[in-house]
Amino acid sequence: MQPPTLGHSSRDLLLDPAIRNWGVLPILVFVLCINLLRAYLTHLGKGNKPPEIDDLRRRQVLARADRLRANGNNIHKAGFEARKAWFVGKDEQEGALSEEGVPGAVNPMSNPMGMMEMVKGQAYFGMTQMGMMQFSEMFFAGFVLVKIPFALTASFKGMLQRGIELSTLDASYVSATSWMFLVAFGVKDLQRLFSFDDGPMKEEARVYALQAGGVPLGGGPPAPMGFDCAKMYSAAKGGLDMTRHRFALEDVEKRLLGDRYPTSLSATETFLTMETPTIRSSNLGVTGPTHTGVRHRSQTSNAKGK
Amino acid sequence: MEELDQVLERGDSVAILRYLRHNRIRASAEVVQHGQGFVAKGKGSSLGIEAWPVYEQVFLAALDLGETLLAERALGLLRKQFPDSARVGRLVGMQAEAEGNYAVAAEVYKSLREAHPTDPVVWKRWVSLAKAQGDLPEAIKRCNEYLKVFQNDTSAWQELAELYLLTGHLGKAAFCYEELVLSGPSIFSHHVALAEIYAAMGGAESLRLARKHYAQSMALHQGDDNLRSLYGICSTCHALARCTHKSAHEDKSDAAVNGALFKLAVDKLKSHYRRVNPSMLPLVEVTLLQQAIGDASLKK
Repeated sequence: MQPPTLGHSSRDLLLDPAIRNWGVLPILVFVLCINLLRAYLTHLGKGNKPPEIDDLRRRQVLARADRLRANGNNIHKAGFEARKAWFVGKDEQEGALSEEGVPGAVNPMSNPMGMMEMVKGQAYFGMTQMGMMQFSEMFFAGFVLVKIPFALTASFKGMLQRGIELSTLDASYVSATSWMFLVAFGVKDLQRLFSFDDGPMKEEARVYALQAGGVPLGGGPPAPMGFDCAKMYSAAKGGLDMTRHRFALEDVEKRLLGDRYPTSLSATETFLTMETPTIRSSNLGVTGPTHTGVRHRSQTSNAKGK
Repeated sequence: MEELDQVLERGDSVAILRYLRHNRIRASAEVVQHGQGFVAKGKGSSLGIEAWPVYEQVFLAALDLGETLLAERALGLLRKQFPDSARVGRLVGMQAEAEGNYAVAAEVYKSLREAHPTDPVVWKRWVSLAKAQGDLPEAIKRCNEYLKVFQNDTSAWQELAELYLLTGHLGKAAFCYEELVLSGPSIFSHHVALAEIYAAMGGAESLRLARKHYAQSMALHQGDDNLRSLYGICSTCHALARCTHKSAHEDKSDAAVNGALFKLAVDKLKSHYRRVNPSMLPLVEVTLLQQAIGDASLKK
C-alpha cells in the first residue's frame, strides 16, 4: 500500500528555519507597517467636513419619531397624541414628518466631494497594494514560506500557492504572495493594537462626543451610501400613524400591590361597570380585578376625552 | 473597574488625572493638585500627546477653584498649539465667563457658532451663558433653539425642564420630562421627576398620573435610593384622597387602590427606617400618621 500523496510530499519538502527568519516574519512586519501607513494616509486625506445642520436635524427627527413609536406607551395618552400629531400632522396640518424638500437617495456620483473621498481612499489602497505586490515579487518570487499543519484539498492551491504553478506541490504549502495576502487581510485585529483608532486619544474624543449629546462629532459619516431621507421619513410617518397608544402604566399599581390589590367590588362599582359595553364579561365569570381594570381604562379615556 | 481610592492611593499623577478624566469626575482640587506641575513645566513635561487633554482638564479645574494664573497658563499652552480649534475657543469663552466678562464671552461664542454651526457643545455654552447672566427666558429660548436640531439630546431636555421649573412653567417642564421618560423608560429617576411635576400641577387627573409614575418608579427600582418615590406616593395618595373625596363621581375602587398604595408605601418606609436608621423611625411615623389621620377624618 502506498501512503497517500499528501504525506509523501510533505515528507519531501523541508522548510529551512532561515525562511522563517528572512521570509515569513519580514513579510508580516512589512504588511503591518504598510497597513498602518495606509490607515494614517486615509486619516490625513479625510476632509474634516462637519455635517450639514439640516441633515443632522432630520436624522434626529427620525430617531425621535422612532423613540416615540417604541416607548410611547410609557407616557399618558394626551402626551402621546400631541407628539404624534406633531410628527404626522392632524386635521390638514402638516406634521414634522411631512416636511417639504427632504432629499431622497443621494446618488454618490452627484456629490463630487463624496466621490473625491472615495477615489482618495481607493487610491491609497491601490497604491499600497501595488507596493506590497512589487515587494513580494521582487524578493520572494517562487518562495514557499509556510506549511499549514493539516491536509488540504487541491482546490486550496489557487488560494495558498499564488505564484507557484506546481501541480505536484501539496496544497498545505503556502507561497510568499499568498502569505502576504493572508496576512494583509488577517491582521486587522492585530493592527488595531498599534493604530490610533482605539488609542486613548480616540477614546477621549468618543467620550467627548457622547457628552455632547450622543452625536458623533465630525467623525460620523456625512450620510451613508443610499441613505434615503425622504423614504425614511415616509416610513417613520406610516409607522407612527399606525401606532395605537396603550398606556403601559395603566395597571402598574396593580402590579406593585400584588396581593394587596383591593378586589372586592362595591355596589357603586358594579353600577359603573354596567354602563360600559364590557358588561358581558361579568357573565363569563371574569373575576374582580379584571373588572376594575376594564372599567379603569374606559374611565380614563373618558376623562381624557373631556 | 478600579475604585478612585485605589488610584489616589498609588499617587501616580498621570493615572489619577486619566482616571478622573475618563470617568468624568469633577474633583477640581485633586486635578489642580496633581496637574499643576505639568502645566508649570509646559513643553518639558513627560506627558507626550496626553499633555493637551491634561492642560484642558487642569484649566477647567483651575476655573472651578478660581486659580486664575494657573488657568491662564494652561489656556496659553493650548492656544499656542491649537490656534483655530473650536474646543480651545470654547475654553477662551469659559475663561471670559469665569472673569465675568459676559460680553466678551458672548462675542467668542458668537464667532464660534458662525464657524461651527453644528458643534453642540458651543451651543450649550451659549445656553449656559444666558443662564449665568441670570436671563432665564433667554436661556430657555436658546435651549429650545438647540433642541429643534438636537432632539435626542437628553441632557438638554433635562436642562430645559429645570429651566422651566425655575420659571414656574410646570406643564412645559412636564413635557420635557415626558421626553426623558420616552428616551429611557426604564430609568426610575425620570419617572420620579415626572411624577413630582404632575403632583405639583395638582388636580385629580394629574395626581393619578403622578401616582402611576411613582408606582412605576417603585416597580423599576426598590432600593434605598428610591425613598423619594415612597414619600411621593404617600403625599400624592393623600392629596388625591383630599381632592376626590367630595366630588360627585368619587371612584370607590380607585379610592381603594389609593388607600392600599398609601399603606404599602408607609409599610415600606417604616421597614426601611427600622432597618437603616431606627432613631428616625418615631419622627417618620408621626409624619405619616398625621397624613393618615387627615385622610381618615376626610373620609367621614
